[in-house]
This record gives sequence, structure tokens and C-alpha cells, in this order.
Amino acid sequence: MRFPYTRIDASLPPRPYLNIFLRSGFATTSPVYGLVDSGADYSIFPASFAETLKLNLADGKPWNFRGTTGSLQIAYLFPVEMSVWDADNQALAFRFETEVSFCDDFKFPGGALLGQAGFLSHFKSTFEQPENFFDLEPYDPSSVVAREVRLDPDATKQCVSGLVVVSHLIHPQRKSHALGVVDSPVVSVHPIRNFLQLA
Amino acid sequence: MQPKDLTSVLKGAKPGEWLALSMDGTRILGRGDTPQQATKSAKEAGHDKIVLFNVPLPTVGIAASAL
Repeated sequence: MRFPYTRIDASLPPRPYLNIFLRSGFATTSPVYGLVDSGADYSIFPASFAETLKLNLADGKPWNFRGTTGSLQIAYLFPVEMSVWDADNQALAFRFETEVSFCDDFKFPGGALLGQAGFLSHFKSTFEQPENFFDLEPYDPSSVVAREVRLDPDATKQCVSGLVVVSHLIHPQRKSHALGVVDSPVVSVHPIRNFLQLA
Repeated sequence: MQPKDLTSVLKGAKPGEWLALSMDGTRILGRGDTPQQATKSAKEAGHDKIVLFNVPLPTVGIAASAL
């Protein structure tokens, strides 16, 4: 999937930003601009996002890092679910389980950094800087959020774990069927094989 | 491909503050000192669909970020 670069300052080159949000349990952050940064070991978010997700920093796995200022900072890694909006911010493009870090004294233009482990590790990425775009293709096709919804009354039934199957969905890349489940705040899509494993 | 351009909407924004932008990045729907304050400000104005943005210092670039 192709994403345009974003210019935030007329005197600086445009940058590869994405709009993403995080979820942990039933808590969800607002979407935020995240810079795709191949120079960052992990993704980093301000600690206030951990508060929204009801995560206690002291419970995370500590990770020390240095920015270009040379000062030592500490961030804490947590497992979360990350969702990525498409280029037009009209629909979700990708959703996957991953690990990101939160840091008390982290401030960054836009909001967050999307680094190597936990973000770029999920995608084959190509940057076309002269053309102002970048491409992300997920290694795991199940992280692609299906878009084309075809209601099928026969598929509506109670499922294990109390989830309700609401429709068949056509997977946009694999052209195969998946199932959608009511999973507030958005409809979540899982490959059929996941349900078979549950059953 | 033309880059998305946030320069107009960010003009005059205070460095360090959090903005709640419209999903197309053309309007400021809320603002605050924290992401939570910006989100709340937008919601109180009746806007649910927002993207948060932390305003950087003007004309300051970035280099490799977390080594």
C-alpha cells in the first residue's frame, strides 16, 4: 500500500508519516502522527499514551536509548495492538499485535516514532524519496484490514468466546474470505483459520 | 506524488502543543498541552474523528532519532 510523504515545514523536506493508534485491552488511544524512522530500534510514544492505555510504565521492559542529543533516555516496552490508517485516512489499512515503547521525556515532531523492531519488522518497506511516497507491504497478510463487506445472513451466528460473526468479508489482497467480529470500537477482521483454531 | 501539506494548518501553532487535526489534516479541531487535553478539547467541540499532532519548533530538522 502506498503512502505519500507529509510536509510539516516549508523549509524542510517532507517526511514519511503515518496515522496510527494503539489498543491495549479495552483502552484505545486517539490516532497520532508517527514518523517511520529506520534509525530507531523500537517505536517510541510519549508516556501519556501509556496512561490512556492504562499501562503502568514500571511494569514494562526497560529499554535505554540515545537520541541525537547524546543524552541517555529510558523507555518501557509493552505488547499492544497497532492500527494504521490508509493514505486518505478514510479506512484502516493494517492492524497487528506488536511491541512499542513509552518514554516519560520523549517529545518528537508529530508525536511518535515508528522504528525497526515492532513496526518495520512487520513490513516490506520501500521509500521513494524523490517521488514523495513510500510503500508498505505486510509480511503477514492477515494484518491487512478487509474493506469490502458483503453481508451474509447465513454467516451470522454466535461464535466461541462470545464474539458475534457479523459478515463474511472479502480479503482485499488475498481475494479470500475472512470473518468480521463485533469488537468495539471498530469491526475487527480475522482470517477464518483463526476461528477454526478457536473452535 | 504530491506530499500531504500540513504547513498551512500548522502556521501559527505553538511549538510543543498538541493539536487535534481533522482526518484530512486541513483543520485544527482542538488543542492542549497533552494528547488527552487536545482530544478532550476536540470532543467538547463535537469532533470525534481526529489525528493528534505535536507541534515542533519551526525550521528545526531531525536526524537519526534513537540510536
